[in-house]
Amino acid sequence: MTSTLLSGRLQLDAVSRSFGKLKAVDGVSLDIAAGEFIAFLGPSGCGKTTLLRIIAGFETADAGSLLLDGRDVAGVPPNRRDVGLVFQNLALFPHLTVAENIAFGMELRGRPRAEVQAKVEEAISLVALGGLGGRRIQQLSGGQKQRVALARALVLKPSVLLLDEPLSALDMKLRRQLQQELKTLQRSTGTTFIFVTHDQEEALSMADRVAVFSSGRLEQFDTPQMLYRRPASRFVAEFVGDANIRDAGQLAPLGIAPPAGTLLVVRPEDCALGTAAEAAPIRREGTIEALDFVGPHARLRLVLDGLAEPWLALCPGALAAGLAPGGRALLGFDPARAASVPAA
Amino acid sequence: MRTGLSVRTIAALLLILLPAPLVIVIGSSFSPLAVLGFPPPGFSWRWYLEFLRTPEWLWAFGVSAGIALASAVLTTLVALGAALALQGAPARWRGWAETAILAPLLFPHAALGIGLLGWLILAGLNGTATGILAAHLILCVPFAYRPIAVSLAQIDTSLAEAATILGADPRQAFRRVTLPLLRPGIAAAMLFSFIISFDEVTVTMFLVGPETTTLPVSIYARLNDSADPVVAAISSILILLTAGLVLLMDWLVGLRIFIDVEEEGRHPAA
Repeated sequence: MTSTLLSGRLQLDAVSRSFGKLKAVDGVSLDIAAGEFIAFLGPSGCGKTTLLRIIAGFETADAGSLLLDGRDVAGVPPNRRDVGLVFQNLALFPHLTVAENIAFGMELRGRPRAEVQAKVEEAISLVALGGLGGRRIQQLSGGQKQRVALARALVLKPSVLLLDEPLSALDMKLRRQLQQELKTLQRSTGTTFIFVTHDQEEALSMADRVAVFSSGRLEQFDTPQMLYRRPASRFVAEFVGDANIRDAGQLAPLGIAPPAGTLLVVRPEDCALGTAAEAAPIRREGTIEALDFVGPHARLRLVLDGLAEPWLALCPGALAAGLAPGGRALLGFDPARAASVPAA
Repeated sequence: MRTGLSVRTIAALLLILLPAPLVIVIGSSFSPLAVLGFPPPGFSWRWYLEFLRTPEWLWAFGVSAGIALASAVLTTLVALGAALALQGAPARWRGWAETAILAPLLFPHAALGIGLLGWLILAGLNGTATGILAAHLILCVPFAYRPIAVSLAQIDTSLAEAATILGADPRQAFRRVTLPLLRPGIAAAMLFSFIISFDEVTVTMFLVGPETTTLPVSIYARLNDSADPVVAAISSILILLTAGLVLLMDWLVGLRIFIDVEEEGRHPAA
């Protein structure tokens, strides 16, 4: 479509959209590079799907601008935007076969039959659906439908592919597998992917960069590592992974004084227990209130002596160390490894 | 699923009782005598030939078929337009409009007949095929609207959006996605409208004229002054025609689609 080698740069500037009094999208600015894998992460109702529909052209922004490869697409209808969309419910055409679903977009563009056929074959093998071209949609499994939806969107080689929680209906194992496949597919096609999800693990494991939304506002747009290690707000720190978030008052008994107006974010895996805690700069004894065994490690909740709020800790060898609910343990951590977020 | 003995007995009785009148009608149509009776005393094609040799009967048949065909097409178009227009309408408006569309079902047909006659006289259309067609349109729309509206409601709105994002303009999205998915509803609407228009007596009786009368009205009129088996012969032809239509529709668009839709709903994606 475009003459540039790598297309798919998307720039959002102060994009807003309200429904009545509800600000669904509130002044969101994002600069997404061509070929990036982006995740939009947030709880349901945070505006991520509305933003996706604005990018697709199904919703219009009340304010702000949206540039696709430098071109303002505000007045461009969805069918001329060069943007692909994989719907949450997939929206496959039930009256067409797998091959006809995939050919749909090319046939609208009036491509010659031989070309359409070749591209459909190519797309079918790209998503590993070989031999299923003649099947009806109703005859496919959940994972196969997923692949048809992907092939149908990718065969048109859109600059940007939007994916609206496409894996949410699948079971965990299939979900993991398709996450990997999506990632590989994105690398091999070089298409800009924007993947909407409310599952933080999915977002962190798949995306190059993650945009975290809350109540229509962009909380942070950063790499998964930065999001986790250097959250920009209390919301991000709480939403992405578990965290012990403490204010100055709660930290005073431990002898820590965070800068004014900030909260300390201590990740549970940064809390050592037992002998491993003895070398930590901050140490405190406590009673184990709960212990959940989750395979490779155990998740513990401790009430530290003299502190009201219980602490979360992840401990690899908890059981071997003889830790059990009701027992006593020493917890230690290094505040230098902790992040801090504004208290507001 | 196993059903109880009593349920199966009732079902069997129904299956015997439903076609019972047809057996009488078809059986007596082959009578060689001039009196309607069952069982027929012999076998002959006499009354079928009588029908085919009488221009008045054939004319009435032609009028009925023409009106029914026009009524099926027009009613379906009107119902399709109404269903599409009301799809996105606010619930309150939609409720009022649907009540208006379904209203002809609520009124006694005799009253409707008199009312429509009044309007047709005002329009100068009483006793004409156009007048009868207009009346049948009103009578058939409730039956045509339902299947189309139900079909439309079953179509996921994201399908039209999917077509759009793949490059379809609104007209292409309608033609390539919405319309094919409405096929069962449209087929049912046309079939219902045709059969209802073709069979209608009560209202039509008020609207026929000396030149233009429909087959069912003619049958009714004939039964009033004589009871020869020609009406049974004609009725048998109508039964055959209706059965043929249903089979044709099944072959053309597959009425089975109704069953498929339900089956899919019952067994969510494996």
